[in-house]
Amino acid sequence: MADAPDTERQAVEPDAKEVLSVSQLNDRIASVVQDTPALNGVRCIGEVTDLHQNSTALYFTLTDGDAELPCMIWANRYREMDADLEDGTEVILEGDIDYWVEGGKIDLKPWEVIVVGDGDQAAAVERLRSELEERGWFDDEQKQQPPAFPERVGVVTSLRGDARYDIQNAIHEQDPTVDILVKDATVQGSNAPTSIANGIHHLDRSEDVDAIIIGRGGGSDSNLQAFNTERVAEAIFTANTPVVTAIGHTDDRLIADQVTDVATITPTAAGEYIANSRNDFLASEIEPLEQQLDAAYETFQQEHEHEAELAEAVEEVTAPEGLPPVYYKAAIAVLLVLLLLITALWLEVI
Amino acid sequence: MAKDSEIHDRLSRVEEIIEQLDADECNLDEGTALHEEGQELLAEVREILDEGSGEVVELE
Repeated sequence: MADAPDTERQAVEPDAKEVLSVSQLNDRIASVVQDTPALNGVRCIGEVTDLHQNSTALYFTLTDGDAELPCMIWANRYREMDADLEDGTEVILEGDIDYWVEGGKIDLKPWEVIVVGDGDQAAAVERLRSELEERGWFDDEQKQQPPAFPERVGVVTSLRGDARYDIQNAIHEQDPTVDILVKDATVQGSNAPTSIANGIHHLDRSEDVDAIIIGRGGGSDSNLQAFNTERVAEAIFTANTPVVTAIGHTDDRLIADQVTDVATITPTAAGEYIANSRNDFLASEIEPLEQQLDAAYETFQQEHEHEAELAEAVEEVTAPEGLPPVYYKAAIAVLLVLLLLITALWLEVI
Repeated sequence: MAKDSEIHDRLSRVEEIIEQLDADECNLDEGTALHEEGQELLAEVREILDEGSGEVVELE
């Protein structure tokens, strides 16, 4: 290319000074996609995930476990198809790759759908779920209660993910004194199960960690597959430290959420759950107890002072009239001495 | 270690003290000592709640 003549270079490279609007650039991408024969009339096999439908169209993701492709079928076209799609269905799709100019997104618009059967991934997850249920890994008796006032919380998540900051901020908003250990983990892809499991084992071995949160933001079903693996389930189940899952999703039933001690909907919810609000605890428990203690003592003290006053009054009332007995005793003693003295003088002893 | 048991033990003892004072089964000096003990325990709970630096440590 370096030796190509100027005229040829202009034909393959955009004008360096040209500034395109987003619409113009997206139009250009769309025309490339539409004019590329290799992207028209393609056939692709994969598993349906994240399927949802509205009145106009059916949306889903086609995945083979390692990669995924968004797909869209118009509702009226889907009604004419002899296909009943649901999450986990394995299909062969035939259609065109389309570029949505306004949204800047590529998708496959199939005109033909051939259902191959239940997807391998979905079937494998269901098999594992049944097996773990039989082993009793989901039983309530196996669940541990995380402490109300943890001193140190371990978090297994991606160091660079939003989930990490959501958890961290939520914990410190509740209680700024809690120490947090964030163990970096790959939370998506083929390495994720091992990475997450190792993170749990590492924090569990640390005696200082009072609870472990496993977190990640939302994602498609295939992005969340690590949380449907036996490796992650086993790490959660065998942990001596209570584990809380915070895997951003809505209605998915992940195996990790079933085996964990506490499942929360979002990373923020996990942070709020794991640390009690220090200020709320002071206001709702400690301050009322301080007031009760002071009130109980005040009543106790008043009663005892009243009793003391009564006892004094009773003593005054019951005391004999006249001089105190000591005076009488002294007078008797003096009289006895005088009597002895007189007797001695009378007998001329002295 | 979580602070739960330390906090729980102290609060239980304070509740016991309140019950003892309410029951009025001791003399004035003993009651005053109990009140002081309760105040100390609650101060300790506040100290326990304040323990910890709130630091964030990243583990690769």
